[in-house]
Amino acid sequence: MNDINSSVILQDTQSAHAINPVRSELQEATVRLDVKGAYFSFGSHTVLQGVDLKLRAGEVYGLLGPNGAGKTTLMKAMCGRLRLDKGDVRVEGKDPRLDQNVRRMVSYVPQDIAIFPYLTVIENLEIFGQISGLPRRDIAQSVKGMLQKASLGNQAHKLCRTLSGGYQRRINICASILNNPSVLILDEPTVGIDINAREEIHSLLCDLRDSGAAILIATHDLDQAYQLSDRVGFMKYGRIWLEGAPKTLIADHFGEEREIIVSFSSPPPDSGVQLLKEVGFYSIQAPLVWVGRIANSHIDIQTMSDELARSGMFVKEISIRSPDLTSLFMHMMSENESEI
Amino acid sequence: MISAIFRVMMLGLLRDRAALAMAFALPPMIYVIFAAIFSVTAGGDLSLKIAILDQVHSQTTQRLVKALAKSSDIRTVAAVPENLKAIEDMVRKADIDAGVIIRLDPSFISADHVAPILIVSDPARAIAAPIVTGRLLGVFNEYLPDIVYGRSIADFETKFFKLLGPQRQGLIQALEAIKKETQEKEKQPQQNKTQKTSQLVEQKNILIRNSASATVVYYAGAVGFMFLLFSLIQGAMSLIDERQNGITDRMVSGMGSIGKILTGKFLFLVLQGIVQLSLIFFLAQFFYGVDIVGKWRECLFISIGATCCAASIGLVVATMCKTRQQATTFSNFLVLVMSAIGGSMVPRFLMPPWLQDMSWLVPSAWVIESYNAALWQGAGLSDLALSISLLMILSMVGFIAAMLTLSRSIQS
Repeated sequence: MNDINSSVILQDTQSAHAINPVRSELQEATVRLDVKGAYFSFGSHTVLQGVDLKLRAGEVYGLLGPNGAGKTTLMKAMCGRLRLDKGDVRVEGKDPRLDQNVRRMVSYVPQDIAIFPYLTVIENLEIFGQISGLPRRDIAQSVKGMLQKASLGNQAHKLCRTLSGGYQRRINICASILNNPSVLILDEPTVGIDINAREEIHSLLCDLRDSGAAILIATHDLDQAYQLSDRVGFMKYGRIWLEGAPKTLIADHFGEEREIIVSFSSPPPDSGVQLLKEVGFYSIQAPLVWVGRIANSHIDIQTMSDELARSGMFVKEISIRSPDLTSLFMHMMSENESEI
Repeated sequence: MISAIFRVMMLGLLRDRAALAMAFALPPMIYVIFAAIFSVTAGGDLSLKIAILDQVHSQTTQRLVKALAKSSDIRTVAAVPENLKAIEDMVRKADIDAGVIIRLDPSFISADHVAPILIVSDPARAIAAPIVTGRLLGVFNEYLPDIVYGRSIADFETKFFKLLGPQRQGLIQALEAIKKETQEKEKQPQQNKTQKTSQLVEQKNILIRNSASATVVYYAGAVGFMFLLFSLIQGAMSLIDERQNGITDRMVSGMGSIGKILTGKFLFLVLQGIVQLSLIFFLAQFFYGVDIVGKWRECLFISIGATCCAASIGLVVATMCKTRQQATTFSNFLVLVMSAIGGSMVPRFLMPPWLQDMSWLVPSAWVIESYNAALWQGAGLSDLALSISLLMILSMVGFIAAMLTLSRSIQS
């Protein structure tokens, strides 16, 4: 082995999670939202290139993909805010763009904390209840119920701007689910908050899912997607390339293989890059970090490191881990449009 | 939905002390200040400060100095400048508004027709010299009429023919009599002083409906609309915050529509504007005697037109600008230019003719002239119909422009 700080790190990130198994009953559940062949362009830039997506009752769907993949545009179309160039969006079989009552069934939680900072928690919930079309006589009752469910009772009369980020995130979601929507669309709902606040938000979402709502979460938090989602979809270049239950997708893609991550102390020479590519490695933080697959973790790290050094590639660290959603995501991101 | 937006706007305003002060405390305060400043400068109460340098020290010039000191239209400073340079320095330092130099005895006309009195003023206060000249002529007429007549006779002799000995003698006696009479009159009580003065020009004010001065009436509308623009644009800027933090996205994604969001805001801003104008008019009525109560219908309709117009301008600014900072900079520029051209700062009649014509392009002029027409000239609703209609049309155009701009920004 080289005299640099080479080490082997074995990771198994999946073992910590209670994985949501693929629920067979979902296959028969009512389709709440159906996107068929959605195309959309901003001028000459095509953002959606034939997206097909179904959200079923009682399902959480994780929408994954890099920035610019078309996730936000797709979500706008789902809310009925965008006229598609081609294809259509149906909520409970109806077009949300044309039917206000259908739009009422869809709630959207933006990535930013979209609440009124100068209003109290209770005032915010009342206002958004009114905006979401709840009958006036039901607003007070719904708000009371929501404050209890989200453990916000003690904060009810405080101005939102004085509350912590975690509380504000919770209110952000509560404001969208007051009217018990059939479809809830969330854009990065837990960004920038601590683990406790995240778990409470997850619990809120699971309650809503259990009540039969269809939930779509666009997130970069793959751990969250793995933990919450019944299905995930990988979106890139305006299309969903891979879709399914997280565990199934990982198993289908990696089988019994493990993932090996090699970090170099200096960029490998061209001949080294060629060699790495030939054995199926791809770079994730080009050109220093390379990822490949191995059949098992019992490999001779010393020999491998020495051989790499002989080819002019000096290893800083080698780690082996069980593949997870992050592995799948990185693999998807490493491939260009023609290779997917 | 509309009532929800209205409620948000109201709670937001009530909890934002700076916005509250901007909307309801600052405008009446500025109105009081403007009324105090401009009612004096435009009215007849203007009393300029002068210093007198008497280089002749004759009996006549001493009479003139005494008369100027007595005059209530001019304030004479106690300090007596030594020479022309000293008086020029006093003007330059703004210790006085103008300097009066008596360089010849005004009883005589010099051979080269040099004016006996020189008035020195700063070009920055160009209005001071003509006003002091006018006041000086008034003092001559009132306190030294014998000198005025004497100069007229001298002029007559120069331009027409020489008077004969007895004629001249008679005139000199008559002038002496006038001089005595004037000096005796000065000792009498004030009310008898001008009894026998024959005036060449008489002044008469028309249409005095109000006990308030014309300037105070004018600035009620002028200050009112300027601050209406400031505060309503500020209020409409909540839309920028809501767009930035995703509230607008959330609202239009559900039951809301752009039309409903803007209507809720528009209605609140109009109500806020009417309350704001009412505060100024309350002050104008009860502290300055402007007849608002007698013209409440006209005031209400103009106020509705003005607030609708200001609210829609606010919404256009808030939908066009991407950040609050951008909107603040742009709106400050817009309001100041509109207010300056429209007559909120200086009345339009004082502007050059081309600027007066151009000012009709800005709604500030329509609003200010409408209020002035109603409150000063006594115009009725039918006289104001055109300007109120124009304001409403502009409001509609602005509202539609705001809707289209917001719609485009949300789509993208």
